[in-house]
Amino acid sequence: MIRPLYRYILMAAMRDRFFISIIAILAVSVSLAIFFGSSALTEKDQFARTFAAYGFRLFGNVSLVFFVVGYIRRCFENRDIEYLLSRPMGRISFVLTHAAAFSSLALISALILGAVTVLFSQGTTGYEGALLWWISLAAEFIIMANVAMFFAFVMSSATAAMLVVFGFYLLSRLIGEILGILQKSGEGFISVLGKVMELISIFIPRLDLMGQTKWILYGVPPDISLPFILAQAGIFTGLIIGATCLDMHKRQF
Amino acid sequence: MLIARSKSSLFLHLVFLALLLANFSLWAYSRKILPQWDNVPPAPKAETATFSGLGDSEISYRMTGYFLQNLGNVGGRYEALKAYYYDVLSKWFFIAQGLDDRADYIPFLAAYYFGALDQETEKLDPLIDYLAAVGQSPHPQKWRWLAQAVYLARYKQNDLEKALRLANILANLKTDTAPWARQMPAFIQLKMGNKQAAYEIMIRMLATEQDKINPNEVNAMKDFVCTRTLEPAEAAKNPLCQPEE
Repeated sequence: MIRPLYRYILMAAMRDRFFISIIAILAVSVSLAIFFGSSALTEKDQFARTFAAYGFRLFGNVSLVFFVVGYIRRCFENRDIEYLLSRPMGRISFVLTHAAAFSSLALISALILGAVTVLFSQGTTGYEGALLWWISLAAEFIIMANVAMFFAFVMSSATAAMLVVFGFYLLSRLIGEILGILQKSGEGFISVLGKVMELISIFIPRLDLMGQTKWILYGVPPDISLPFILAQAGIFTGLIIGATCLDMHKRQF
Repeated sequence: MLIARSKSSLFLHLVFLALLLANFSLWAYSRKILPQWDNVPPAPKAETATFSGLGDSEISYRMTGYFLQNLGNVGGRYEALKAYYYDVLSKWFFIAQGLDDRADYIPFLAAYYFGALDQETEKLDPLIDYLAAVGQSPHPQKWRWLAQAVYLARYKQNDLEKALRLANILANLKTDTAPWARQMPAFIQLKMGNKQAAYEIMIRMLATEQDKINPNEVNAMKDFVCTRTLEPAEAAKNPLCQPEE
Protein backbone atom coordinates (compact mmCIF):
# COMPACT_ATOMS: atom_id res chain seq x y z
CA MET A 1 0.00 0.00 0.00
CA ILE A 2 2.98 2.25 0.62
CA ARG A 3 4.23 2.19 -2.99
CA PRO A 4 0.81 2.92 -4.59
CA LEU A 5 0.29 5.83 -2.17
CA TYR A 6 3.74 7.19 -2.99
CA ARG A 7 2.95 6.95 -6.72
CA TYR A 8 -0.49 8.46 -6.12
CA ILE A 9 1.08 11.59 -4.54
CA LEU A 10 3.55 11.97 -7.40
CA MET A 11 0.67 11.54 -9.87
CA ALA A 12 -1.26 14.23 -7.99
CA ALA A 13 1.75 16.54 -8.47
CA MET A 14 1.70 15.78 -12.19
CA ARG A 15 -2.06 16.35 -12.32
CA ASP A 16 -1.67 19.68 -10.50
CA ARG A 17 0.94 20.68 -13.11
CA PHE A 18 3.56 21.02 -10.37
CA PHE A 19 6.47 20.17 -12.66
CA ILE A 20 5.25 22.58 -15.35
CA SER A 21 5.14 25.27 -12.64
CA ILE A 22 8.76 24.53 -11.78
CA ILE A 23 9.74 24.87 -15.44
CA ALA A 24 7.75 28.13 -15.62
CA ILE A 25 9.55 29.43 -12.50
CA LEU A 26 12.82 28.54 -14.15
CA ALA A 27 11.98 30.42 -17.35
CA VAL A 28 10.55 33.50 -15.57
CA SER A 29 13.40 33.71 -13.03
CA VAL A 30 16.10 33.40 -15.68
CA SER A 31 14.40 35.99 -17.92
CA LEU A 32 13.92 38.48 -15.10
CA ALA A 33 17.45 37.90 -13.81
CA ILE A 34 18.91 38.59 -17.27
CA PHE A 35 16.73 41.69 -17.58
CA PHE A 36 17.74 43.07 -14.16
CA GLY A 37 21.35 42.06 -14.69
CA SER A 38 21.58 43.86 -18.03
CA SER A 39 20.27 47.08 -16.52
CA ALA A 40 23.04 47.16 -13.89
CA LEU A 41 25.92 49.53 -14.70
CA THR A 42 28.62 46.91 -14.17
CA GLU A 43 29.02 43.31 -12.89
CA LYS A 44 26.02 42.34 -15.03
CA ASP A 45 26.87 38.65 -14.91
CA GLN A 46 27.11 38.62 -11.11
CA PHE A 47 23.78 40.44 -10.88
CA ALA A 48 22.03 37.99 -13.22
CA ARG A 49 23.38 34.90 -11.45
CA THR A 50 22.52 36.25 -7.99
CA PHE A 51 18.98 37.27 -8.96
CA ALA A 52 18.33 33.94 -10.73
CA ALA A 53 19.54 31.88 -7.76
CA TYR A 54 17.49 33.98 -5.34
CA GLY A 55 14.39 33.59 -7.56
CA PHE A 56 14.84 29.80 -7.78
CA ARG A 57 15.17 29.51 -4.02
CA LEU A 58 12.21 31.73 -3.17
CA PHE A 59 9.73 30.59 -5.81
CA GLY A 60 10.78 26.95 -5.52
CA ASN A 61 9.80 27.05 -1.85
CA VAL A 62 6.56 28.89 -2.61
CA SER A 63 5.44 26.35 -5.22
CA LEU A 64 6.30 23.40 -2.98
CA VAL A 65 4.37 24.86 -0.05
CA PHE A 66 1.36 25.65 -2.23
CA PHE A 67 1.27 22.12 -3.60
CA VAL A 68 1.83 20.28 -0.28
CA VAL A 69 -0.68 22.34 1.71
CA GLY A 70 -3.23 22.33 -1.12
CA TYR A 71 -2.91 18.58 -1.66
CA ILE A 72 -3.26 17.60 2.02
CA ARG A 73 -6.15 19.95 2.75
CA ARG A 74 -7.93 18.69 -0.37
CA CYS A 75 -7.42 15.10 0.85
CA PHE A 76 -8.99 15.98 4.20
CA GLU A 77 -11.91 17.84 2.62
CA ASN A 78 -12.65 15.04 0.12
CA ARG A 79 -12.31 12.45 2.90
CA ASP A 80 -9.49 10.77 0.95
CA ILE A 81 -7.47 10.56 4.17
CA GLU A 82 -10.17 8.53 5.90
CA TYR A 83 -10.47 6.26 2.88
CA LEU A 84 -6.71 5.72 2.67
CA LEU A 85 -6.44 5.05 6.40
CA SER A 86 -9.15 2.40 6.12
CA ARG A 87 -6.75 0.46 3.87
CA PRO A 88 -4.22 -1.96 5.38
CA MET A 89 -1.78 0.75 6.37
CA GLY A 90 -0.68 2.20 9.71
CA ARG A 91 -0.86 5.91 10.46
CA ILE A 92 2.91 6.17 10.86
CA SER A 93 3.49 4.51 7.47
CA PHE A 94 0.91 6.87 6.01
CA VAL A 95 2.81 9.95 7.25
CA LEU A 96 6.20 8.52 6.29
CA THR A 97 5.00 7.76 2.75
CA HIS A 98 3.74 11.32 2.42
CA ALA A 99 7.04 12.66 3.78
CA ALA A 100 8.98 10.50 1.30
CA ALA A 101 6.83 11.63 -1.62
CA PHE A 102 7.04 15.33 -0.73
CA SER A 103 10.79 15.03 -0.14
CA SER A 104 11.13 13.43 -3.58
CA LEU A 105 9.24 16.34 -5.11
CA ALA A 106 11.52 18.76 -3.25
CA LEU A 107 14.55 16.89 -4.54
CA ILE A 108 13.31 16.93 -8.14
CA SER A 109 12.56 20.68 -7.91
CA ALA A 110 16.03 21.36 -6.51
CA LEU A 111 17.56 19.17 -9.18
CA ILE A 112 15.91 21.14 -11.99
CA LEU A 113 16.38 24.65 -10.54
CA GLY A 114 19.85 24.07 -9.09
CA ALA A 115 21.21 22.48 -12.26
CA VAL A 116 20.68 25.72 -14.18
CA THR A 117 22.60 27.71 -11.55
CA VAL A 118 25.47 25.21 -11.60
CA LEU A 119 25.47 25.34 -15.41
CA PHE A 120 25.73 29.14 -15.35
CA SER A 121 28.59 28.91 -12.84
CA GLN A 122 30.72 26.56 -14.89
CA GLY A 123 34.19 27.91 -15.43
CA THR A 124 33.85 30.61 -12.78
CA THR A 125 35.54 30.90 -9.38
CA GLY A 126 32.21 30.11 -7.74
CA TYR A 127 31.70 26.68 -9.33
CA GLU A 128 32.36 24.65 -6.17
CA GLY A 129 30.26 27.12 -4.18
CA ALA A 130 27.44 26.63 -6.69
CA LEU A 131 27.59 22.85 -6.14
CA LEU A 132 27.32 23.39 -2.38
CA TRP A 133 24.46 25.84 -2.98
CA TRP A 134 22.69 23.16 -5.06
CA ILE A 135 22.89 20.60 -2.23
CA SER A 136 21.84 23.27 0.24
CA LEU A 137 18.84 24.17 -1.96
CA ALA A 138 17.74 20.53 -1.99
CA ALA A 139 18.12 20.35 1.82
CA GLU A 140 16.07 23.53 2.27
CA PHE A 141 13.32 22.35 -0.09
CA ILE A 142 13.08 19.03 1.80
CA ILE A 143 12.84 20.86 5.15
CA MET A 144 10.17 23.24 3.88
CA ALA A 145 8.12 20.52 2.12
CA ASN A 146 7.95 18.60 5.42
CA VAL A 147 7.19 21.75 7.42
CA ALA A 148 4.31 22.45 5.00
CA MET A 149 3.12 18.84 5.45
CA PHE A 150 3.15 19.23 9.25
CA PHE A 151 1.13 22.45 9.29
CA ALA A 152 -1.28 21.14 6.64
CA PHE A 153 -1.99 18.09 8.84
CA VAL A 154 -2.28 20.12 12.05
CA MET A 155 -4.29 23.12 10.84
CA SER A 156 -7.77 22.85 9.38
CA SER A 157 -7.60 25.87 7.06
CA ALA A 158 -5.44 25.84 3.93
CA THR A 159 -5.02 29.64 3.96
CA ALA A 160 -3.98 29.69 7.61
CA ALA A 161 -1.57 26.79 7.06
CA MET A 162 0.09 28.55 4.11
CA LEU A 163 0.42 31.79 6.09
CA VAL A 164 1.96 29.95 9.03
CA VAL A 165 4.40 28.10 6.75
CA PHE A 166 5.49 31.35 5.09
CA GLY A 167 5.81 33.00 8.51
CA PHE A 168 7.95 30.08 9.62
CA TYR A 169 10.07 30.39 6.47
CA LEU A 170 10.56 34.12 7.02
CA LEU A 171 11.60 33.49 10.61
CA SER A 172 14.00 30.75 9.53
CA ARG A 173 15.63 33.03 6.98
CA LEU A 174 15.99 35.92 9.43
CA ILE A 175 16.64 34.07 12.68
CA GLY A 176 20.39 34.78 12.59
CA GLU A 177 19.83 38.54 12.38
CA ILE A 178 17.07 38.44 15.00
CA LEU A 179 19.29 36.55 17.45
CA GLY A 180 22.15 38.95 16.73
CA ILE A 181 19.96 41.97 17.52
CA LEU A 182 18.54 40.38 20.66
CA GLN A 183 21.94 39.36 21.99
CA LYS A 184 23.13 42.96 21.58
CA SER A 185 20.02 44.64 23.02
CA GLY A 186 19.80 45.97 26.54
CA GLU A 187 18.12 44.98 29.77
CA GLY A 188 14.65 44.65 31.27
CA PHE A 189 11.68 43.62 29.22
CA ILE A 190 13.64 43.47 25.95
CA SER A 191 16.13 41.05 27.46
CA VAL A 192 13.23 38.83 28.66
CA LEU A 193 11.81 38.91 25.12
CA GLY A 194 15.27 38.01 23.89
CA LYS A 195 15.32 34.92 26.09
CA VAL A 196 11.86 33.90 24.85
CA MET A 197 13.00 34.35 21.26
CA GLU A 198 16.11 32.34 21.96
CA LEU A 199 13.90 29.56 23.28
CA ILE A 200 11.73 29.71 20.14
CA SER A 201 14.85 29.62 17.97
CA ILE A 202 15.56 26.06 19.18
CA PHE A 203 12.71 24.96 16.92
CA ILE A 204 13.67 27.15 13.96
CA PRO A 205 16.16 25.81 11.40
CA ARG A 206 18.97 28.20 10.46
CA LEU A 207 18.01 28.65 6.82
CA ASP A 208 19.96 31.91 6.84
CA LEU A 209 23.11 29.80 6.90
CA MET A 210 21.99 27.79 3.87
CA GLY A 211 21.78 28.54 0.14
CA GLN A 212 23.63 31.87 0.25
CA THR A 213 23.94 33.38 -3.24
CA LYS A 214 27.40 34.63 -2.20
CA TRP A 215 28.68 31.07 -2.61
CA ILE A 216 27.81 31.15 -6.31
CA LEU A 217 30.08 34.14 -6.84
CA TYR A 218 32.94 33.54 -4.45
CA GLY A 219 33.06 29.81 -3.85
CA VAL A 220 32.67 27.62 -0.77
CA PRO A 221 32.35 29.69 2.43
CA PRO A 222 34.86 29.11 5.23
CA ASP A 223 32.23 28.94 7.98
CA ILE A 224 29.52 26.68 6.48
CA SER A 225 30.30 23.09 5.57
CA LEU A 226 28.48 20.29 3.79
CA PRO A 227 28.15 18.19 7.01
CA PHE A 228 26.42 21.14 8.71
CA ILE A 229 23.91 21.47 5.85
CA LEU A 230 23.21 17.73 5.76
CA ALA A 231 22.98 17.49 9.56
CA GLN A 232 20.52 20.38 9.73
CA ALA A 233 18.38 18.89 6.94
CA GLY A 234 18.45 15.41 8.50
CA ILE A 235 17.79 16.43 12.09
CA PHE A 236 15.13 19.05 11.41
CA THR A 237 13.29 16.95 8.81
CA GLY A 238 13.30 14.04 11.26
CA LEU A 239 11.97 16.30 14.01
CA ILE A 240 9.13 17.70 11.91
CA ILE A 241 8.16 14.26 10.53
CA GLY A 242 8.17 12.98 14.12
CA ALA A 243 5.83 15.80 15.16
CA THR A 244 3.49 14.97 12.25
CA CYS A 245 3.49 11.29 13.25
CA LEU A 246 2.60 12.25 16.83
CA ASP A 247 -0.26 14.45 15.62
CA MET A 248 -1.63 11.69 13.38
CA HIS A 249 -1.26 9.14 16.16
CA LYS A 250 -3.41 11.18 18.54
CA ARG A 251 -5.93 12.38 15.96
CA GLN A 252 -9.56 11.17 16.20
CA PHE A 253 -11.28 10.47 12.87
CA MET B 1 -44.19 45.37 -10.76
CA LEU B 2 -42.78 46.93 -13.92
CA ILE B 3 -42.95 50.43 -12.43
CA ALA B 4 -41.16 49.29 -9.27
CA ARG B 5 -38.47 47.65 -11.37
CA SER B 6 -37.94 50.70 -13.56
CA LYS B 7 -37.76 52.86 -10.39
CA SER B 8 -35.06 50.68 -8.86
CA SER B 9 -33.24 50.62 -12.22
CA LEU B 10 -33.35 54.43 -12.36
CA PHE B 11 -32.08 54.60 -8.78
CA LEU B 12 -29.20 52.22 -9.58
CA HIS B 13 -28.24 54.24 -12.64
CA LEU B 14 -28.31 57.47 -10.61
CA VAL B 15 -26.11 55.95 -7.91
CA PHE B 16 -23.72 54.69 -10.56
CA LEU B 17 -23.64 58.14 -12.20
CA ALA B 18 -22.99 59.80 -8.82
CA LEU B 19 -20.11 57.39 -8.12
CA LEU B 20 -18.73 58.03 -11.62
CA LEU B 21 -18.79 61.79 -10.93
CA ALA B 22 -17.15 61.28 -7.55
CA ASN B 23 -14.45 59.19 -9.21
CA PHE B 24 -13.93 61.91 -11.84
CA SER B 25 -13.58 64.58 -9.10
CA LEU B 26 -11.03 62.43 -7.28
CA TRP B 27 -9.08 61.95 -10.51
CA ALA B 28 -9.17 65.73 -11.22
CA TYR B 29 -7.75 66.33 -7.74
CA SER B 30 -5.11 63.58 -7.76
CA ARG B 31 -3.82 63.86 -11.34
CA LYS B 32 -1.62 66.81 -10.38
CA ILE B 33 -0.09 65.01 -7.42
CA LEU B 34 3.10 63.45 -8.77
CA PRO B 35 5.56 61.18 -7.00
CA GLN B 36 7.95 63.28 -4.92
CA TRP B 37 11.63 62.55 -4.55
CA ASP B 38 12.40 62.21 -0.86
CA ASN B 39 16.14 62.30 -1.43
CA VAL B 40 18.34 59.54 -0.03
CA PRO B 41 16.42 57.64 2.67
CA PRO B 42 18.17 56.78 5.94
CA ALA B 43 20.44 53.76 5.65
CA PRO B 44 19.54 50.65 7.64
CA LYS B 45 21.66 49.46 10.53
CA ALA B 46 24.28 46.82 9.84
CA GLU B 47 22.28 44.26 11.88
CA THR B 48 19.17 44.66 9.73
CA ALA B 49 20.82 45.22 6.36
CA THR B 50 20.17 41.67 5.17
CA PHE B 51 16.43 41.84 5.92
CA SER B 52 15.75 43.09 2.37
CA GLY B 53 17.20 39.85 0.98
CA LEU B 54 15.60 37.59 3.59
CA GLY B 55 18.90 36.96 5.34
CA ASP B 56 20.91 36.54 2.12
CA SER B 57 23.71 39.09 2.22
CA GLU B 58 24.65 38.88 -1.48
CA ILE B 59 21.14 39.53 -2.80
CA SER B 60 20.81 42.37 -0.24
CA TYR B 61 24.04 43.83 -1.65
CA ARG B 62 22.78 43.58 -5.23
CA MET B 63 19.37 45.04 -4.31
CA THR B 64 21.05 47.90 -2.47
CA GLY B 65 23.22 48.53 -5.53
CA TYR B 66 20.23 48.50 -7.82
CA PHE B 67 18.35 50.82 -5.49
CA LEU B 68 21.26 53.29 -5.34
CA GLN B 69 21.71 53.20 -9.11
CA ASN B 70 18.07 54.17 -9.70
CA LEU B 71 17.63 56.38 -6.65
CA GLY B 72 17.25 59.69 -8.44
CA ASN B 73 14.84 58.42 -11.08
CA VAL B 74 11.36 59.23 -9.80
CA GLY B 75 8.30 59.34 -12.03
CA GLY B 76 10.36 59.79 -15.18
CA ARG B 77 12.38 62.69 -13.74
CA TYR B 78 16.08 62.58 -12.89
CA GLU B 79 17.48 64.43 -9.92
CA ALA B 80 20.73 66.36 -10.19
CA LEU B 81 23.63 64.88 -8.22
CA LYS B 82 24.04 68.09 -6.23
CA ALA B 83 20.58 67.50 -4.70
CA TYR B 84 21.61 64.21 -3.08
CA TYR B 85 22.44 63.94 0.62
CA TYR B 86 25.97 62.64 0.17
CA ASP B 87 26.49 61.98 3.88
CA VAL B 88 23.48 59.61 3.94
CA LEU B 89 24.54 58.11 0.63
CA SER B 90 27.92 57.31 2.11
CA LYS B 91 26.22 55.44 4.98
CA TRP B 92 24.52 53.25 2.38
CA PHE B 93 27.91 52.61 0.76
CA PHE B 94 29.40 51.45 4.04
CA ILE B 95 26.38 49.24 4.79
CA ALA B 96 26.77 47.62 1.36
CA GLN B 97 30.47 47.17 2.01
CA GLY B 98 29.53 45.14 5.10
CA LEU B 99 27.29 42.92 2.95
CA ASP B 100 29.94 42.12 0.35
CA ASP B 101 33.45 43.48 0.62
CA ARG B 102 34.68 41.71 -2.53
CA ALA B 103 32.29 43.11 -5.12
CA ASP B 104 33.14 46.29 -7.02
CA TYR B 105 29.63 47.41 -7.89
CA ILE B 106 29.07 49.97 -5.11
CA PRO B 107 32.63 51.38 -5.29
CA PHE B 108 32.06 51.73 -9.04
CA LEU B 109 28.82 53.65 -8.46
CA ALA B 110 30.50 55.83 -5.84
CA ALA B 111 33.55 56.65 -7.98
CA TYR B 112 32.14 56.99 -11.46
CA TYR B 113 28.47 57.87 -10.95
CA PHE B 114 28.13 59.80 -7.69
CA GLY B 115 31.72 61.03 -7.99
CA ALA B 116 30.75 62.93 -11.15
CA LEU B 117 29.49 65.83 -9.01
CA ASP B 118 30.90 69.12 -10.35
CA GLN B 119 29.28 71.68 -8.07
CA GLU B 120 29.42 71.88 -4.26
CA THR B 121 32.30 69.41 -4.37
CA GLU B 122 32.76 69.62 -0.59
CA LYS B 123 29.82 67.19 -0.51
CA LEU B 124 32.20 64.56 -1.87
CA ASP B 125 34.04 64.30 1.49
CA PRO B 126 32.12 61.25 2.82
CA LEU B 127 32.29 59.58 -0.59
CA ILE B 128 36.07 60.07 -0.68
CA ASP B 129 36.32 58.63 2.86
CA TYR B 130 34.37 55.58 1.65
CA LEU B 131 36.55 55.05 -1.42
CA ALA B 132 39.66 55.45 0.73
CA ALA B 133 38.35 52.79 3.14
CA VAL B 134 37.44 50.36 0.32
CA GLY B 135 40.79 51.00 -1.32
CA GLN B 136 42.61 49.69 1.74
CA SER B 137 40.69 46.40 1.75
CA PRO B 138 43.01 43.38 1.38
CA HIS B 139 41.12 41.92 -1.60
CA PRO B 140 42.81 42.04 -5.03
CA GLN B 141 42.67 45.24 -7.11
CA LYS B 142 40.91 47.26 -4.43
CA TRP B 143 43.71 49.87 -4.42
CA ARG B 144 42.10 51.30 -7.58
CA TRP B 145 39.34 52.79 -5.43
CA LEU B 146 41.89 54.55 -3.26
CA ALA B 147 43.42 55.96 -6.46
CA GLN B 148 39.91 57.20 -7.34
CA ALA B 149 39.72 58.87 -3.93
CA VAL B 150 43.03 60.62 -4.65
CA TYR B 151 41.72 61.72 -8.05
CA LEU B 152 38.50 63.16 -6.58
CA ALA B 153 40.39 65.02 -3.85
CA ARG B 154 42.98 66.32 -6.32
CA TYR B 155 40.88 67.25 -9.35
CA LYS B 156 37.30 67.65 -8.13
CA GLN B 157 37.95 69.24 -4.75
CA ASN B 158 41.39 70.67 -5.53
CA ASP B 159 42.33 69.75 -1.96
CA LEU B 160 46.02 68.99 -2.38
CA GLU B 161 46.66 68.27 1.31
CA LYS B 162 43.97 65.59 1.37
CA ALA B 163 45.06 64.21 -2.00
CA LEU B 164 48.65 63.93 -0.77
CA ARG B 165 47.58 62.21 2.45
CA LEU B 166 45.56 59.62 0.48
CA ALA B 167 48.27 59.26 -2.17
CA ASN B 168 50.81 58.46 0.56
CA ILE B 169 48.50 55.75 1.92
CA LEU B 170 48.13 54.38 -1.62
CA ALA B 171 51.88 54.43 -2.27
CA ASN B 172 52.57 52.54 0.96
CA LEU B 173 49.93 49.81 0.48
CA LYS B 174 51.30 46.30 0.81
CA THR B 175 49.17 45.04 -2.09
CA ASP B 176 50.41 44.80 -5.66
CA THR B 177 49.62 48.35 -6.82
CA ALA B 178 50.56 49.71 -10.24
CA PRO B 179 53.69 51.87 -10.52
CA TRP B 180 51.66 54.93 -11.52
CA ALA B 181 49.70 54.63 -8.28
CA ARG B 182 52.92 54.66 -6.27
CA GLN B 183 54.02 57.73 -8.22
CA MET B 184 50.94 59.72 -7.23
CA PRO B 185 52.53 61.44 -4.21
CA ALA B 186 55.25 62.78 -6.52
CA PHE B 187 52.73 64.35 -8.89
CA ILE B 188 50.85 65.97 -6.03
CA GLN B 189 54.03 67.20 -4.36
CA LEU B 190 54.98 68.79 -7.66
CA LYS B 191 51.62 70.50 -7.92
CA MET B 192 52.10 71.79 -4.38
CA GLY B 193 55.40 73.27 -5.46
CA ASN B 194 57.52 70.70 -3.55
CA LYS B 195 59.84 69.82 -6.41
CA GLN B 196 62.44 68.33 -4.09
CA ALA B 197 59.91 65.93 -2.51
CA ALA B 198 58.60 64.90 -5.95
CA TYR B 199 62.19 64.33 -7.12
CA GLU B 200 63.00 62.12 -4.13
CA ILE B 201 59.89 59.95 -4.52
CA MET B 202 60.71 59.27 -8.17
CA ILE B 203 64.39 58.63 -7.54
CA ARG B 204 63.53 56.17 -4.74
CA MET B 205 61.12 54.34 -7.02
CA LEU B 206 63.65 54.17 -9.84
CA ALA B 207 66.27 52.84 -7.45
CA THR B 208 64.10 50.07 -6.03
CA GLU B 209 61.69 49.14 -8.82
CA GLN B 210 63.39 49.91 -12.13
CA ASP B 211 63.70 46.20 -12.93
CA LYS B 212 60.02 45.50 -12.34
CA ILE B 213 58.65 48.39 -14.43
CA ASN B 214 58.12 48.50 -18.19
CA PRO B 215 61.05 50.34 -19.91
CA ASN B 216 58.62 52.88 -21.42
CA GLU B 217 57.41 53.73 -17.96
CA VAL B 218 60.99 54.05 -16.69
CA ASN B 219 61.67 56.52 -19.50
CA ALA B 220 58.54 58.48 -18.61
CA MET B 221 59.65 58.62 -14.95
CA LYS B 222 63.10 59.82 -15.97
CA ASP B 223 61.51 62.48 -18.15
CA PHE B 224 59.31 63.58 -15.25
CA VAL B 225 62.39 63.89 -13.00
CA CYS B 226 64.51 65.70 -15.54
CA THR B 227 61.99 68.09 -17.05
CA ARG B 228 59.54 68.78 -14.25
CA THR B 229 61.27 68.39 -10.90
CA LEU B 230 64.68 69.78 -11.95
CA GLU B 231 65.63 73.14 -13.45
CA PRO B 232 67.48 72.83 -16.80
CA ALA B 233 70.82 73.65 -15.13
CA GLU B 234 70.26 70.98 -12.45
CA ALA B 235 69.19 68.45 -15.08
CA ALA B 236 72.32 69.08 -17.10
CA LYS B 237 74.42 68.02 -14.10
CA ASN B 238 72.26 65.06 -13.01
CA PRO B 239 73.62 61.73 -14.30
CA LEU B 240 70.06 60.38 -14.67
CA CYS B 241 69.27 63.05 -17.22
CA GLN B 242 72.27 62.46 -19.46
CA PRO B 243 71.53 60.85 -22.84
CA GLU B 244 72.36 57.13 -22.86
CA GLU B 245 75.41 56.13 -24.91
